[in-house]
Amino acid sequence: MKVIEGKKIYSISEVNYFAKQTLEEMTFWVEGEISSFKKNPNWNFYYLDLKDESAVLPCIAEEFIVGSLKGEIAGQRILAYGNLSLYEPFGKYQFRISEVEAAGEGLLQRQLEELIKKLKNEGLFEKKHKKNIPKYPRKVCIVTSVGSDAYNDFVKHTTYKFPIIELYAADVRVQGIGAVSNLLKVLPKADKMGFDALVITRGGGSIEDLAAFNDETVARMIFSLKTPTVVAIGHEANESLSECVADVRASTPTDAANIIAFGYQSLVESLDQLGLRLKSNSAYYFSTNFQRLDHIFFKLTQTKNTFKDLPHIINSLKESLMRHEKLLVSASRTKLQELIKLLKKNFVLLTENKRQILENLNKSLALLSPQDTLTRGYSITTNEKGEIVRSIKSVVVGELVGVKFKDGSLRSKVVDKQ
Amino acid sequence: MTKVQKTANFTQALARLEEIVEKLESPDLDLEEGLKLLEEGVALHKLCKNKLTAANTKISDILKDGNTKDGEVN
Repeated sequence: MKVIEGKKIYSISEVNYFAKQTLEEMTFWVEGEISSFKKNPNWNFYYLDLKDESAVLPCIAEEFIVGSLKGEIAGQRILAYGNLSLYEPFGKYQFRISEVEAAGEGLLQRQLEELIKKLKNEGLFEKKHKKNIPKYPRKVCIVTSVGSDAYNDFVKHTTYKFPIIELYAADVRVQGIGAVSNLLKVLPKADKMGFDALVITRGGGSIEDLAAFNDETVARMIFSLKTPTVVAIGHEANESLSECVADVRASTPTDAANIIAFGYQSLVESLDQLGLRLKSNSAYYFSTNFQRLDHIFFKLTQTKNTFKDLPHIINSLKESLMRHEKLLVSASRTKLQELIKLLKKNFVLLTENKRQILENLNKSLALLSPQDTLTRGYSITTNEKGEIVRSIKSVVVGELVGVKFKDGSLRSKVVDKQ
Repeated sequence: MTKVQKTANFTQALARLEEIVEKLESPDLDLEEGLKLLEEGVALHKLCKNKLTAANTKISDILKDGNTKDGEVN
């Protein structure tokens, strides 16, 4: 600083230095949308522009600050804490960010995450609280905005496909003012109506649109429901508090419908499977059995083969019989002839034999005859009665006896006996 | 010898039929016996074939009916 003619004159550097000192005492939170950001090519910090509808605030932030922001950085609404600073060489001021938080949707998202964490810590998401959806639900109530895409998708994949599912609809406001109170009124009513399952659903939307389903009171209400409940809010990417407390979470209304109809769907599929198996098995059964029968019939027709040799056998038997007969006859004839011959021979022998025996007998007989004996010189003595004297004892001395010779007889007197 | 039983079920009839065929193939089969077996066999074959054809037609009809209601549960 110099003083010329009573004027205090500061150098540029001094001005900027003082300005910097003053500015750096100002620390505050500021809300804005990141309109652009780029990294300093040489140092690990970023240049950001925060803007609102009418103004832009140039900012710098270190890498860890930028890194803590989730999702797409440009266009994000943030709350930034820091102080103003001044780059002396250019006399340009900027906001030095030392802390950052999401604002708007980001804020809602953060609040939601905190809420999810809170209820999770209370144990509301635990598996033990999850009720099973019946495999074959008959009475089902859908809680949604009737006529919406979500509603139509759900109907299309449940009762339209499986009319056995009796579908009831509780028409509710799913977003905007009154949605929360509407849900809080309808849900306990539906819970008492004896449905097999409740389905709470709506299509996707921004985090503001889904707010009612991220409401703590609604979530606690859903948690307290006695009816097994499926919750499907939005699209795959969105996670809502209501889904966390539901018995079953579905990603879309169609997904919820598939969960409800799962039992019927598998039944139809297994029936189809069984039908196919029935078809192929019966085709197999019939083709094999028809073949078997054909084969059997063929074999039956072949029975004549079993007997094909019979005529031949009979013929040869006949021939053999005839041959044997011939042999037998001729053999018998020979034998007979032989026998006759033998008989003749034997007969001759026999008669000759008998004739000789007879002759011999005759001879012996001749030898033994009294005439023959007398011839040979013997004589026969008889007593007076004419009886043959066989012993001396029967002869008495003085007795007359007859003596017979071969050629005559005489009478003599017994003179003595010895 | 057993007579063809109209009441015999398909499996029994088929078993008897195979028994008959086996007997008919025996080299020392008696002619009268063979004739009787053949008669019984042909009758059984007819019975089996009729039963099988009837069953096949019925199954085809049933399966055809099943297909027209495909994908619907009532």
